[in-house]
Amino acid sequence: MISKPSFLDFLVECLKRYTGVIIVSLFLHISYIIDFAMARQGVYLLSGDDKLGPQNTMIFNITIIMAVISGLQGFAYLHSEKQSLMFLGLPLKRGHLFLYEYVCGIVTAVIPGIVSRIICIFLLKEGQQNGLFYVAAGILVNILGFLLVYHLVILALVLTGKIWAALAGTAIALIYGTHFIGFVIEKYCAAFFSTYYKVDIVSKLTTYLSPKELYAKLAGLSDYSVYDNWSITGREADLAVMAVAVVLTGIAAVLLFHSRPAESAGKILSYKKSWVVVKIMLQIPLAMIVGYYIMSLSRNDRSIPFLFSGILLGIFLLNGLSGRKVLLSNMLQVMGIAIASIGIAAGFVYDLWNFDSFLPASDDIESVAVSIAGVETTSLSKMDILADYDADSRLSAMDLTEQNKINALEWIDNIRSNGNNTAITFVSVAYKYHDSRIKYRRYAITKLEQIEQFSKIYESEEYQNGTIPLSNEEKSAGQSFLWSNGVETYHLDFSDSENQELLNCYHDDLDRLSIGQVIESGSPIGLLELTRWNEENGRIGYIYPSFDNTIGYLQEQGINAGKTIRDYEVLKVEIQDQNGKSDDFETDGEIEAIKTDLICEELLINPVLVPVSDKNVTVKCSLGNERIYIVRYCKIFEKQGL
Amino acid sequence: MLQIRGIGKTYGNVHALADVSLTIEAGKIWGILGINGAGKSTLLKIIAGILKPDQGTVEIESQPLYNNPEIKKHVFFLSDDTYYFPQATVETMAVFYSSVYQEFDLDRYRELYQALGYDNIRKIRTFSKGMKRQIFILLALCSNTGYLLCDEIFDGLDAAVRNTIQKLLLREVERRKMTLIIASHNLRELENFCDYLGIIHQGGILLSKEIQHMQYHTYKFQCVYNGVKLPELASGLDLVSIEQQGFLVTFLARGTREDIRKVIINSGAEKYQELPLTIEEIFINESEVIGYDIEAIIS
Repeated sequence: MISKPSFLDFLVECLKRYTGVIIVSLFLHISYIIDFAMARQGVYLLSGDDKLGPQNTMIFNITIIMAVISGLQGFAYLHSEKQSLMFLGLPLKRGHLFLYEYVCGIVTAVIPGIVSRIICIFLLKEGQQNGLFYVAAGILVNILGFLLVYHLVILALVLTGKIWAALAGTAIALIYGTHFIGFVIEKYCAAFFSTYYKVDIVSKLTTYLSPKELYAKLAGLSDYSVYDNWSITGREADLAVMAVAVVLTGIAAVLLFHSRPAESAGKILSYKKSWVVVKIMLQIPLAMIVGYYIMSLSRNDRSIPFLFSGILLGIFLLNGLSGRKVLLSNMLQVMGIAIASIGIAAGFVYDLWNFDSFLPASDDIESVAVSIAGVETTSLSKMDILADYDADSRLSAMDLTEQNKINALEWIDNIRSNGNNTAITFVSVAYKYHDSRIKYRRYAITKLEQIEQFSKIYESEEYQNGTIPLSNEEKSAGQSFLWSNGVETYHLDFSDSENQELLNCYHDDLDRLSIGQVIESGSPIGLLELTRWNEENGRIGYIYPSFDNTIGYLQEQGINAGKTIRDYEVLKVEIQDQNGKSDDFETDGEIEAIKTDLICEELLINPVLVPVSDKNVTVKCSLGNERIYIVRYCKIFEKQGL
Repeated sequence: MLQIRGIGKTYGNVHALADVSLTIEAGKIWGILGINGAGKSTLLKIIAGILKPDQGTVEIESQPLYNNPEIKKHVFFLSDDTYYFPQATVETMAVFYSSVYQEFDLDRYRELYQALGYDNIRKIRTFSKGMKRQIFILLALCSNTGYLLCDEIFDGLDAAVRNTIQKLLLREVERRKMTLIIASHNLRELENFCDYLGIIHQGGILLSKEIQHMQYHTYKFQCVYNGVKLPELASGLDLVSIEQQGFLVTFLARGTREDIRKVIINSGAEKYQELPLTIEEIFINESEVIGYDIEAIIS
C-alpha cells in the first residue's frame, strides 16, 4: 500500500513525539484551572492567583515553562548526532522541518493555554466585569510571551551543539538586560554619580534586553494588584517592542536553523564566529562587575586603581581559565575587551557624559516632576528617606508646567551644588522631554530654608495633584472614606452628599496649606482614605493641624479628628531593639517623657522628622471609659537639620 | 545517475574531503573503503544531503540534491546506529517514515518483518543490535528510494545477520535496480558483494573501479615444482606477491596470461593452474602503486 503523505500526516507523526510535552502541558494547565477556581473561593492552593487577565502569575510561569519544554522537545535533536542524521536526512526542506516542529510546539502549549482560560471564565459564578476582555488580553499577551521565550530557546538550541550550552544561553538571554547590563549601569552610576536616581533609558533598555522582564512588564506583573486591572494604556511601547522582538527572533531562528551546519551536534557553538560576539557580550559586563567589587574592597570605596586592576583581573580570570595557550592565542581579542571595559568604566569615573552637572533648559522639556522624600511620604526608618518609595509613582503622576516648571528648575539650580553628606533629605526629579524621554536625578537638601523655598511649587495644584492623591479626587460618589489618626480607625458610613462635603472641606484646607505649615506642624494628625469597592488601596490625604474645616466637619459627625496619640491614655511603651531586647516603660513619668516624641508610623511623613533609631516601638493605649486596650506601632522621632 | 563533482568539506582545521569527484551509475552496488577517519561517512552524509559541502555539488539526474526534497526523496541514508523514537515500535517507525517517503510500501514492510519473525507492537529498544539493523534495512528498502546509502551497517554484526542483510540488499538491487552505496572500513564486509569499489583516504578518492576492471593484467597462479625454482620464476615475472610452501608456489603477477604461462613453463613447473583473485588481492595489487596501507582495511 503506497499512499502519498501530506503535510498533515507528518505533522501528526511529529505530534506523537510530543506526548510527554502534552501531558506536562495538560497537567500544568489543569493545575492552573484548579488553582484559579480555588482562589475564587478564597482557598489558596498554589499561587492563589484568581486573575483572569495577563496579570495571573501562575499562567505567566506556566507559559515560560512550556516555551522552554516545547523548544527543547522540538529542537534538542540538533544536539544529538544520531538524531540530526535521522531528521536532516529526511526528504524535507530545512524550512519545512523547522515549521513542523515549530507548529507542534505551539499546538501543545498554546491550545491548552487558550482552553484553560476559557474554562476559567465559565467557572465564574457571577461573571466578571470585562471578563472577556481580560481573557482575550491574557491569551494575546501569553501567546506573545510564549513565542518570545520559545524563539529564544530555539535560537539557543540552534546556536549551540550541547544542551548545557543551550540552557545556559537561554538563562543568560532571559536575564541579560537586568543582571548584566542593568546591574553594571546601576552599580557604576550609584558609585560615581552623586545625582543618580535612575536612568530611564537604562531601565527601558534593561527591560527590553531581558525577555522575561519585558514579558512581565507587558503582563502587568510589575504593577502589584489584587484584582484584574490590566489595560493596554501605557503598555503600547512594550507591546510594540514585544511584537518586534517576537518577529525578529522568529526570523533569526528560521535563518540560523536553515544555515546551521549539521555537524554542529556535540560542539559548544554551532557557528565559530558567534563565539567572539558571545565573549564580548559576556566578558565586558562581567569584568566590570569584578572591577566594581574589587573597588568596593578599597579603603575609600572609590579607588580607581582598584577598579581598573579588578577589571583586568576579571578579564584574566575569564580568559585564563581556558589555559595559557588559549589566552595567548586570543591576545588581540582579550586586549580589545580589556580596552573596551576600562574605557566604559572610565566614562563613569570621569563623568564623560556630564551626568552630575546636567540641568535642562526650560524650553527643552515639557514638564518637570519633583518628589521630596519625607514630604507626604512615610519614613519609618532613616533608610526610608533615601529610598523614597513613593518617588516613582509621584514623578509619573506629576507634571509641573509653565511657571511651575520654571520655578522648579530655578529651585533645583539652587540646590544642585549641595553635597550629600549633610543632607536633611533628598529630592528626586524627573525631567520630561517633549519626545517622551525622561531623565531622572536626585539632589540633596541640606538646609531647612531650601525646603521653605520650595513653597511656591508645593502650593501649586500641579504639585499637589502629583503628591496628594486625594487632591485629584473631585467627586466621592460611590466611594467611601476611611479616617485614622494612627490609634483609631473608622470606616465612615457617610451618604454621598456627606462624603462630598468632607471632600470639599479637605480641598479648601489643602488650598491653604503651605510647606512651612507642614514642617512646623511636625506631622499630620490623621489621614483620610477614599476607596472604591474593588480597590485595595485608596487615595490618601493627610490631615494637618491647620485643617480646621476637615477636622470640624469630622467632629460634627462624631469623629474626634483633633486627637493624636499624645491625647490618649498610654498604658505602656515597649521599645525593642534589632536583637529582640526590649525595654518596657509603664510609670507615668517615663511615659510622659516618651509620649511627646511619639508619632504613629503611618503619620511620620515630615522630612525634618526622622525616627531616632530603627527600634520598634509598641504603645499600648486605652480608648477611654470602656478601657479597651489597643496596641499601636509608633516611632520616636527627632527633628533634624534645625 | 549520481554525480559528485569536486566536493570538499572542512571541520575546523581538518580537511575531511578534498575535491572528490565520482560518477555512480544507477542500479549498481558501490563499496567505499577506507580506514576510520578517511572521510567515508562525510562523503555519504553529503550524498544524503545531510551535510552541506564547502565546495562542489552532488547531483542526481543533473538536479542538485542539498535541500531539494524532490531529489532527496530518492535517497535513504542508513547509519550504523540509526535513531528511533524512545517508545517506537516496529510498526510506528514505519508509519513515521511512510509520512515522509512518498513511495513507502507499508504492506511490503509488514510482510517482510513478519517473514523475519518480528512482532509489530514490540518496542524497537528491546531488540538486539542485529535485529535493530534488520528492521532499519527493511524500513530503508520499503521506502523504495532509488539510492540507499549505508554507513558501516555490517559493523559488529555476526556472520548470520550479515548474510541475511546482504541477501535482503542483493534481492532489492536485483528486483528494482536500486543503487546501493556501502561505506566500510573492512574489505571483508564488502567481498563478493560490490560491483564497484573505491578507496577513500585522507579525504580523497585514491581509486574507484569496477571490480572486473581491477583484475585486468593481474593473475594468480599456483605451480608445483620438483625442486626449488623460485629465483628463476621470480626473475621472469612482474610479481605482486609470492608464497612458497614446500614444492607449492602461489604467486600474483602482472602481465598477460600467455606471457606468465610461458615463464611458468620455462621455469620447469611440473603442474600449474590459474586461481581466481580474491578482492583482497585485487586491492593489494591496485593500492600498491599508490602506497596505501591496505593492511588497515583487510585486517
